[in-house]
This record gives sequence, structure tokens and C-alpha cells, in this order.
Amino acid sequence: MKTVNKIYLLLLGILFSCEEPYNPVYEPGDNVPILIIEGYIDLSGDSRFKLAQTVPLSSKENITPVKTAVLSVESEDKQTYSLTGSSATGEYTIRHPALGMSTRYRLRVKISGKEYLSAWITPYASSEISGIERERTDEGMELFVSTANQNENSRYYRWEFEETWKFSAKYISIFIFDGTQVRLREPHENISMCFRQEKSSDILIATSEKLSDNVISRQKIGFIPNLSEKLMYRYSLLVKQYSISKEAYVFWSIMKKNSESVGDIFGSMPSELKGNVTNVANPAEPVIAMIEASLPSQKRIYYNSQDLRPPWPTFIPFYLGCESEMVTVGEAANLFKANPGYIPTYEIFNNPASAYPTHYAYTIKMCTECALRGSLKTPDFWTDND
Amino acid sequence: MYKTRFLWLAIFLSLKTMAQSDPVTLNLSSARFGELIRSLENQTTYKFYYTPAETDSLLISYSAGNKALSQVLSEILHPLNFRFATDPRKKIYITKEAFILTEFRDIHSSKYSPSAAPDVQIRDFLEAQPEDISIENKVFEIGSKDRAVKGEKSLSGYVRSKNTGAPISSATVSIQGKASAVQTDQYGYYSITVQEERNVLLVSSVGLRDTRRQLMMYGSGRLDIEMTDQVFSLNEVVVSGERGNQVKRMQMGLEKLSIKTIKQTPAVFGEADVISVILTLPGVQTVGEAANGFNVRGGATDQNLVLFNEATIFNPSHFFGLFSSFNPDAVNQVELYKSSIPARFGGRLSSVLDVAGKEGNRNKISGSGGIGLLTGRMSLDGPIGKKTQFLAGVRSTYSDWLLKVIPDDAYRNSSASFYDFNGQISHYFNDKDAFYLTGYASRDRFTFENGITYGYRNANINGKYKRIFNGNIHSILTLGYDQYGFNIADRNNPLNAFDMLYSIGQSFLKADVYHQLHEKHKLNYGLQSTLYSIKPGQITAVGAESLVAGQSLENEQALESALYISDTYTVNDRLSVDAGIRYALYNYLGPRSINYYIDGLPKSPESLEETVSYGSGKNIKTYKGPEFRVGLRYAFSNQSSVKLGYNSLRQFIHMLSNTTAATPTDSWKLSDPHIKPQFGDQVSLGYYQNMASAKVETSVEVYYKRIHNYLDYKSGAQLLMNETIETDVLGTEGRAYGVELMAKKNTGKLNGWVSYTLSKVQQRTTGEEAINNGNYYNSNFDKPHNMTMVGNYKFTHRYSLSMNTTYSTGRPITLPIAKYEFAGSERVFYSERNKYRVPDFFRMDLSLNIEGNHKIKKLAHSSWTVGVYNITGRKNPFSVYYVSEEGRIKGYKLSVFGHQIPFVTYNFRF
Repeated sequence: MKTVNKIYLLLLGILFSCEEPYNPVYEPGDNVPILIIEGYIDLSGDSRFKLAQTVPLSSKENITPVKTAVLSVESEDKQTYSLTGSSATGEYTIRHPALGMSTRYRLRVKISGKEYLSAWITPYASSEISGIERERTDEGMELFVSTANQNENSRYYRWEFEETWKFSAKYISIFIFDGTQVRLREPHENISMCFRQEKSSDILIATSEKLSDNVISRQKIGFIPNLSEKLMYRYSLLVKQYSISKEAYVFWSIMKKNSESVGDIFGSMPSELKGNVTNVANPAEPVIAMIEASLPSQKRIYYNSQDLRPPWPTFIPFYLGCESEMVTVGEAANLFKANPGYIPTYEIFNNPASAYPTHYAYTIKMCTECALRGSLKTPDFWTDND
Repeated sequence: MYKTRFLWLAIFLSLKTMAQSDPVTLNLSSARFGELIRSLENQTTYKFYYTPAETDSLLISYSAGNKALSQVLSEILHPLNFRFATDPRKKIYITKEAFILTEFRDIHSSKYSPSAAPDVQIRDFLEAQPEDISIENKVFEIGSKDRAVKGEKSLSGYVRSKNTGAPISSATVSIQGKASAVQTDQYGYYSITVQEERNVLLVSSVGLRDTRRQLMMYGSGRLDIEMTDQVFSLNEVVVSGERGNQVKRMQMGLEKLSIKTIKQTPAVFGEADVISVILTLPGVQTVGEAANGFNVRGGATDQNLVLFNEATIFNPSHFFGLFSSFNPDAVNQVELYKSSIPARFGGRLSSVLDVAGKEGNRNKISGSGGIGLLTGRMSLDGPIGKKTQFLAGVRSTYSDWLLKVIPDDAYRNSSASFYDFNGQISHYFNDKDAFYLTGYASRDRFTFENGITYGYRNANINGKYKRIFNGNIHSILTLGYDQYGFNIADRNNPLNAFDMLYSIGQSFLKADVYHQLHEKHKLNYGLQSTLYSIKPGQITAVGAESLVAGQSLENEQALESALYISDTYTVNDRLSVDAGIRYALYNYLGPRSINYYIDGLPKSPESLEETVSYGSGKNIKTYKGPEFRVGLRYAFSNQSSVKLGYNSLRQFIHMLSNTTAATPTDSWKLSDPHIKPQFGDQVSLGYYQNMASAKVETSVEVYYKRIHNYLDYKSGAQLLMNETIETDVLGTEGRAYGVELMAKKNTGKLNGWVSYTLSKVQQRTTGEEAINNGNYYNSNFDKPHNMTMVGNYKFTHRYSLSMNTTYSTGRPITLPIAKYEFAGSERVFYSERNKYRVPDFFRMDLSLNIEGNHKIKKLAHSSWTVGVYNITGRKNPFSVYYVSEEGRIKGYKLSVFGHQIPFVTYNFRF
């Protein structure tokens, strides 16, 4: 029905409708924090969970981390792996070996006297990702995932991805002023070529329930808008695929629906988000959690910008206003000594008769130090060879 | 002064001319005055009025041959100081001293002494043709004087328009001096019983001149009555006739609107719209402007039975509710039953919206039409031979231009269109037998830039045979077929390209008998049967690449039958009782396979016990039960009454919808072994008072209503293409109560109504999944305060100004109350269902109606409507929504008509 909404708004909206920000007044009783548990029982070993509480909409924080907790993963065949810990970020890792597919599992969490318990969870192993494809459109680059599940255990899928890309500041500095002179940078002195990472922030789910085969073909999972720096040099996408239960699919789809478009008159009513964790003493207390026992599959791909046709121009608004100045080679040392904020970038040959540079170009730190926006460290997995 | 004299002279001269044409011959010698009068009355058609006390002693000697009546009268009367006055009804008043004047004058002036007074001609204050007047004064003898029946007799017949011959429905027919009245039905037919011989029959209808008939009832019989349009002349006193029908009427909670009222109420885009006027009535709500459907006294949108000439219209909206399905040129009148629903109606819980179409002109071909910003319409009607009339109307939109002018591909490549068609043929075999064939068709279609097309259509046809057995019994037999369907065609991605179809059809048969058993007992009984057939969904892959698995849900069929009888018992002039019972029987029929689930477990694929296949025509499940319709009216006087009513109803069909407003892809589902029929009952009490000589009608009604087995849905339920919908639905029960106040003025330069409703609608889940922990929560359309003012002021006969003002509490909404981060994005947590409300709603619309000149013999009459919708430009929130944009959450309120919207429409008729 979302499309119907759109055309509806389109029909009416074009001429008459208008949107305004809306900030309602809440009843005080609606401000009690709600427990959130994020994570899954990782069948390959060591499960990571993040515990937090909701905050009011007006809060500047996104969440309030739960700083001390007792967590345990239990199996129906009486295995228990526990952790008593504290964490400033609310992140906890329960150490355990690889777990089998033949039994069911559950999570128990104790927080300041309250005990929360998940339902028994059937584990699912994901099929392999058969392909990740890209398609250039007028607006940018669309990314698709495909899978073919041979074992018929689940027709519901969820994906997460992590993007990593190499980018540079507006001016690449190949020279350094070492306190006395301007010289070429050593590779370890690089300040202009960086890496940046981003995790998926949309809920990516799909089902093959309505299809004759348990196949997901070209499910759109990501989009890189035109001019994005992501495709400046080299881009890597790691897609993690989970096979999930129908119950989990419903949970994720409600969360997706509730976040994306609700309240719209042709949109559906906000649905109650029913997770699989309850307060043992008070089952009516809402808990936002859908714990699963999973063996995800994953696949990584790389794209080089030089392979893209037509070429991919980039524009980084952060560097808007960055300009480059020149200084003669002779005056360079004095200039850089007096202005530690100036960084030499490259050399300029203004005398055709000479084989030596006449000037150095320089700019301010912000325009050449990429570390302000990324990391200089090459990620462990990164490879420049396909 | 000259002018006055001239006028006076003209009157006098006309008298001369008139009286001269009546020559008389007299030969009297010392005759008594009475002898003179008898002699004159024998020779002419005049009737004389005089005071015997003044004339007893007179002896008249006079002879004349072939002399004009006026001259004779002057010569006899003037010497005796008598004067006479003549009126157009051929009555002559003879007076002495007290003479009749036709104009004001200075009574102190000696110039006008009685002896100098002239004879005058009285002009009638009604600008009527003499033959009409004489009809009103003529005594109709019904039955034979020789075989006069003592006691109860009945009179029946048709009330029709004199100009077009069209039947006049809802005209009030009453006997002078009696508190009770009957109304003509949709065909203009009435039937009334009387006790006495001498009666005066009064007939009134809004917009038409009241008329009366003098009756001498020796026995039962038939009388057809023609009414003329009320043609107002300038500066004329409007004679107010029999108003205040709601005091006399048996029904409570019945709202009647003539197409005239509907046409003068401003509507968005200037298109006269039945449903938007319905929304201004007390007790009728909507979730938002331009949302499909309406809610009556806390009922859901699918609980309204919408009938257009007996055809059930499943989706009465075009363009997502911007327009309703009814072409205003094809509509005669609209009735909304919201509390006392007559026993002849059934199948829906909340209300009956009975839209009666116009019948064709009996005298000549005529037509009407209009051109607005988005739509155009045209209709034509007239006689085919002496006994047959037709009407055909079509309406369409040309809104695509609106989309094409938008400089954005997303709009330019979209298109939206609709049309509707209606036709009627009525044939009168003779006085007793009539046949009506009615058809309706509509289609809506939206194509989007992304390649998805949505469409829906209504198609209805029915034939009605009406027979009048005698004055006391008439019957109507209706046979028809109604269909509704929608489709979705997705061509966005070749791998997922599909067509989806849904359709519902119903064949129905109704036999209704209206039987005046006795002066005090008016019976209505009959039987109805409806055979439903639903194709709940079919998906087919389109194109070789498509991976979509074709799927076709099993058809559903059911038979709904009902027998009903009701008796309107007039105990006396003050007290009347309407008692009705309707027995409904519902059979869910094969072929179909039904899943049965383990008792006590939630219905889910896991709890499936067995699947049973039923053969064609096999009865799978039966639901049955009585419905009671009881009403009581007690009139304190002609001007005030109190009414009490109780109604219970059953509904076997459910609309599957989990959006706030109804959408075109909401499907209908039949009750089955798992989904029980909806049941509702309502008790209501009303007080009605007419004021200011019945020019103002006021009413107060209170009601309490219960609804059972209304469907709600589990979280994440999929409603379309769901083979096991029973595993995704929840039963709820609802309650609604409120008080409705209304004051209405039907006549005069200023007319319209003001209404205020205070109400509450709540529901709670009774099934497995408890929304709000199973406690009552406000329904989507719970708007406690609602006030409406609809008014029309006629400046002159060509210019009138209409205004429509609405205020209501904002609709309930479920708001996000907390936020958190989950799966890489900020998200929100919602409050209890419908705990908060959107800001209050207020809107005022104005329109100016400009009629062309009023020459009756013009080729075509045209009118313009110019207006502004939402004149204050208030940004009424249609909806509030929160959007997750790049990890941040923003709240917005959206107003659909957040500005003034000007409109202009040109209408014509010929």
C-alpha cells in the first residue's frame, strides 16, 4: 500500500498539501525506559549482545547503555554459558564454543534484580550468498544480493552489510616539512589517503514465501548516490546473510514498517512490536528484543572506480572552500616553520628550463589530512588485488 | 401616485372585461335577495358570498336581458349601498359598509367613503393558474355515494411533478387535523387511510408548492396528485406550508437530503457530492478529509449499506475519496438511516445510505451537465413513448492534465482517471404495474511512474417490478446483480512482474410488500435472498522472466436470506409504534476446503488439525438469528414528539483493512466457520420540537450501541492473498454512545442546519493477541466533539451564498513515545493504541451560486458555482508521521488541503 500512499499524496499533494514539523506533548507515564537487547546466539562461537534502554524522543542520546548485567546462553540439552560483567557501552561477549544445530537455545539476562528470558529458539544456518551485483542508474549505483537456498529450512532472510572504502582529502600531500626542510613523505607518513567504514542502517529483509523456489533474486540492499566518495578509488562490501524464523521476519518487518512510514492515513496502524524476550516476573513489560540462534553466511566484494563506465566523479562537501597556495622553494622552510598549520602538498615546475621544482603547493591541514574523516590504518582484510 | 392609479384602473378594467363575458337575464319582482343569488348562480359559474342578516329584508325588482353580470350587480347593489368584489376563483363577495380594498389608502380621507367605494377584483396572492386553484377547491368524490362505506377507507396514488411528470419521493401526505402523516416512496407512491367522509388532503415537499385536495370519501380509491415547482416572484411573501415532518415521522435518526441541498453545499473542486454532505450530519464522521468512506455513530466504514437504486455499491468513492460515486445529476434524494433501520434493510450494522436516482422526464427530453476543474458530467432524460422514460448519465475526469504540468517525471509518467455511468428506464404498463431497469458502472485507475497500476470498478444492474394490487397493497419485486473488484498490475521489475485480481459479486432477490391492513396497521413484509460469490485473490506471473509463483485462492460463496415483517401501528393521533422483526439465515457454502485447528490453541499453521474439503453447494456453516427493530413515537402536539428505538442487526460480510482510512485494495471477506458474523445493537431516544411555525426543526437524540465480532488484525498480518486469514484476525467488541443536537431551517432566504455531536467510540480485542492488554481503546474515528454548520443565504433569486463550517476533535493516533538505536538506526517505540490525538479539525468553505436568468422558456439554463474550499487556509493535520531519515527521526504533520482551494464549476440543464 505504500505506493498507493505515494500516488495519493502525489495527486493531492502536488497542489494543496503541506508538511510541517510536529512536536506533540507526551504524558509523563510514557517516559519509562524500555530494555533493548540486540544480538544473536552465534552458533560459530562467542555470542555478542548489546544491552540498552530507550530514551525519550527529545533526548540527545540515542540510548542509555546497561552497564552491568549477568547474561547466559542456555541450551535445551542443559548446557549453560554465563557471563557476569560490566561494560560502559553495554556490549557483552559470552564466550562459548561452536554450538550444534540439533537443539534449541535461549538467552537469560539479569539486570539489577530483574530477570529476562527469551523463548526457546530454533537455530538456523544460512545458505551461501550466490552473488552481489551492481547496477548503475541515473541516480547512482544500486547494489543487489542473490541467494539460492538448497536446504528448505527457512524462506525468510535478513542481511546486514558493512561498507569500506578508500578516499583521499582534497589535496594529497606527498611532501612533508620535517622541521628543517621540505621532503618527500615516506609511505608510513601518509596523511591524505584514508579508509572509512559504515554499517547498514536499514532493515534488510526478504522472503521467498510467495515464490515457487526458495530463491532470492537481486534483492536490493544498498545504494550509493552519485558523487559519493565511496567509489572514489576502491570500495568493498561485506554482506552478512541470516536465515531467520518467520517470527523474526515479522518482528523485523514491523520494526521496519514502524520506523519508515507510519501514521500516514493509508499507512498501516503502528503494530505492536512483539519480541521473544519477556520479564519473568512481569510478562506485560515491553522488551525490545528478537534473539535468534544463527550461523550466518557472508561474502565480500571489491569495486575499483577505474572499472566504472562512465567514470564516477566525486564531490566531498566537507572540502568545500579548500584552496591551494604556492610558495617558492626558497621561502618554503621559513613559511612552514612560521605556520605549522600549513602542509606542503605537491611540487610545481614553473621554469621550463629547469628540471627542479620552483614552488611547493600548500594548503591548510583540514584540506589534506583525511584522518579528520576516516582512518589512516588499512583494515586487516583489505586487499588491493582482486 | 400615477402608477398606483394606473394599476388600480387596470384591475378595475379587467373586472369589467371579465364580468362582461358573463351575460345574465333577470326578471325579478319584489324578489328576496336569495332568489336573486340563486338566479345568478344558475346562469353563471360564480359563487356568491354575503351576510344574510344584511340582505334578509331586501326585496328586489329588476329586469334585464343579456346584460353583463357586473353591470347587473352594479345597478342592483349600488342604490342599496352594497358593493361587490370578485376573485379569480369566481367568487363574488357582497358587502355593505365594510368594503374590500386591494390597496392601502388614507382612511381619513373623505374621498373614500363607503358610498364612493368601487367594486373590486381581488387578486389571488398565489401566482397560480386558475385551473390549479380550482383543483384545490374542487371536491373529489372517491367511491360511490350509493355504496358509501362507513369507517375506514384508503386512498392511494402517485405524487408527481406537474412540469416533468417525475415522481416526487418523500412528499408528506397527511389529512388536515391529524397528527400522523405518510410519506411517498421512491416512486412517489402514497397510501393513507381515513375514517371520515369529508377530508382535506395536504401534500407537501421541500422545494414544491404545498397543495391540498378536498375529498369526499365514500369508499377506498385512488388519487394522483401533481405538484408544481415553487416559483418565487420578487418581494413575495413565502407561504410556509406543512413542515416539521420529523415530528410526525415514525422513523428516528433518519436524515433526508434533497439533491437541491446537496448541490448548494460547497464541496472541494466544486463538484456536488453526496458523501461530503452526509459528513455534515450529526453522528457521521470520517477519519480525514478525502478519506474513503464514512463512520456512522461509531460504526466502521464497512458497516454502512450504500444503496443506489437498490444496488449495493461496495466502494462509493472515486479518486481515493475526493469524489463520491454518485453523479449529482442522476440523484434525486438521499436518505441516511442511522438509528431506526427499517426491517426491510439488513446486512450491515451501522447505517443505510439509500440514494434514490432521478427518474426520467415524462414530458420532454431534458438534460443537464457540468464542467469543473477536474471532472465533467452530462446526463440526458426524457420519455420514450407515452409510458416509458429513460435517464442516462456519465461522468469522467480529465485530471491527467494536472499531473502532466508538474515538471517532475514521477508525476508526469503517472496517470489517474475515473468514470461512472448510470442509466435507468422506467416503464408504466398501466396504473398498477410499473417496471424499472437500473444500471450503474464505475471504474478508477491509477498508474504510477514505477509501473504499478491500481484499478477498481463497480458494476450493478437490477430490475424492479412494482405492482399495485389495490389501494391497500402494493409490492415490489427486485432482481439484481452487484459486483466490485480491484486489480494490481506490477511491471516494475520483470522478475517480480505480476497481476493480482480480486472480485466480489452478489445476486439478489427482494420481494417487499406494503400492506395497509387497517387504518391503524401498516404492514411491510417480505423476503430477501443474496448469493455471494468472492474470488479472494489470484496472482499470475507476467512475462517469461517473472519468478512470481502463480497463486489462486479458493472462491468463497454464501447465501444470505432474510424474512421480515414490520407493523406501524397508529394507536391514536399521538402514539404510534413500529415493531419489526427480521430473521436472517446465512449459509457458507462449498466448494471450499476449510482448515480446522486444535481447540484451545491459537490458530496458526502449527495448530492445524485437519483440512476438510467440501463439495459444491455443500453447507459448511450456518449462522442465523433474529433482528429486532422497534420504534415508538409519542407526539405531545403537532409540534413536538418523543421517539424511542431499539435495533439489532447482523452483518455477514467483513472488510479486511488494517489502515486508518479505507483503501481501494481493501477486500471483503465472508463469515466462515472461524470468522463469526458481526452483531450490533443500538438503543436510542430522541426529542423533536418544531419552532417558529415549524420553520425551524430541532432535535436531540441520544444513543448507545454495541458491536461484536468486528475484525482487527494481528501484528504483521497480511490481508491480501492470505489463504489462512483466520490465523491473522482478531475479534473485537466495540461500544459507542453519544448525543446529537440539531437545528434545521428548511425555508426562507436563510436555510440550513447546525448540528453538534458529543460521542465516544471504543473497542477492545477479545481474541488471542491483546491490543492494549485487552482494555478498551479509542477507535480510529472517535472524535468526541463535532460541530457543523451548513447554511445557504439567497440574496436574490439569482445569487445565493453557501457556507459549510466544521469543527471536530482530532482523530486518535498512536504516537511514538521513546526512541532507541537498533540495527544501526534510530527507531521509535509507540504508545498504547490510539492514546493521543492529532490537533483539532476546523474548516470553512464558501461558495457563490449564480443562476442564469429565470426565463422559463429558455433553451438552456445555466449556473455557475464559484467558491473557496478551506477559506481560512487552516492546515488541518490529515496525518502525523515520523520518518527515519539517515539515522535520524523526524515528526511531520501533513495537511492534504492546507491552503485555500478556489474552484469554479459551470452547470447547465435544458
